[in-house]
Amino acid sequence: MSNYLLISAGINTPPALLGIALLFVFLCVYQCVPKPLVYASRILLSHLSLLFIPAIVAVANYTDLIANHALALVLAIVISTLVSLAVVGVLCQHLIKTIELESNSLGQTASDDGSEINPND
Amino acid sequence: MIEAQMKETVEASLLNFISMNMLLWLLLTIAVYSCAIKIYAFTKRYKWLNPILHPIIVCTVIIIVCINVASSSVIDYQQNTHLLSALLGPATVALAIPLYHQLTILLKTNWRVLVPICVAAILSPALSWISLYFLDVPLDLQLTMLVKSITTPLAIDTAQAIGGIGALSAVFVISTGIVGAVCGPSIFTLLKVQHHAAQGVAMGSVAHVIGTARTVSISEQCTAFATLALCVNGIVTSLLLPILFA
Repeated sequence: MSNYLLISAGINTPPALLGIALLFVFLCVYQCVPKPLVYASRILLSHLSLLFIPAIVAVANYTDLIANHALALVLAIVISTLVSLAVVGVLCQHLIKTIELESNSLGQTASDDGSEINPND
Repeated sequence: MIEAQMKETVEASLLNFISMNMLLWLLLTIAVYSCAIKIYAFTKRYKWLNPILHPIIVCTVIIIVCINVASSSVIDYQQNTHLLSALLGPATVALAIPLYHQLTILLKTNWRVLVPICVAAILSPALSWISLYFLDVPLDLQLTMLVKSITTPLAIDTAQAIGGIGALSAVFVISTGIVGAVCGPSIFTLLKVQHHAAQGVAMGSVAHVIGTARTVSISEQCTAFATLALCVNGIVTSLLLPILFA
């Protein structure tokens, strides 16, 4: 049944995004993930990379385009990735600190997974 | 048992509609993929080298070589492996499950963890687009670059929806992931971002799955936040971009 759900959700939504939303709402209503769905999704998600190899191989058609703009592309990727990593990391760290300050007495920090928080800060 | 059943149905459908060719390419893809996974697992201890040997890269390169050797065309290959692409839709939908599992984190932080994720969703494409704009690159490449920080299955769809090139988007996505996974930890040390949750959010929202895979070696908490950031960023970006550019 869940496999059917997955497939029907996949088919009636071209951008797959609606499918994610549907399944998510379904899970929230259902309050837990049904067993067959766990099974199906584990197979699919763990081998997700295999599934888009046919799509990526098409890159062989665009080698000229890439080669012509290689420097620009590499620059854009490296710069934007590094800057965003830095900005988001710093921003998130500030945010977590404020949350921790606010709820310090309750001990309910954003992070109580049992994993250690760096003692230096 | 279900697996055996699935195999049977797959085999039956294979026998029903296909040629030897299709079977051959499918088997080849799966074989190459499993080899690539082995290589990836084998190099796991070399943290710098590992992201570069991501199974997708190794696999794609080998398959392209194979196609050239067999003097076949990419379109033929895609037709022959249609079975794999057909599963991509349901697999993408399955991303809702990890998102659901991270729901508790969202509630625990009063949804405020969404702020940096949304900042990442806007900042990263904007920066890459600006740099491409000034470097005078054709429009379809600029549009393709916009999806570079979301996970590949969503990126391919989104890129096509806004007029970019699906296959290229995958390449940009993976290169972004590698840059992030390789440089991320040193950036965090440099800027003194020591909180594992913050590192996770940054890695997941900027370097998607490849970054998330890297966080496994940092801490479990880091991975949990990275997974959350990855899912949320994917959804936010693929919602926003078609609205802005369609």
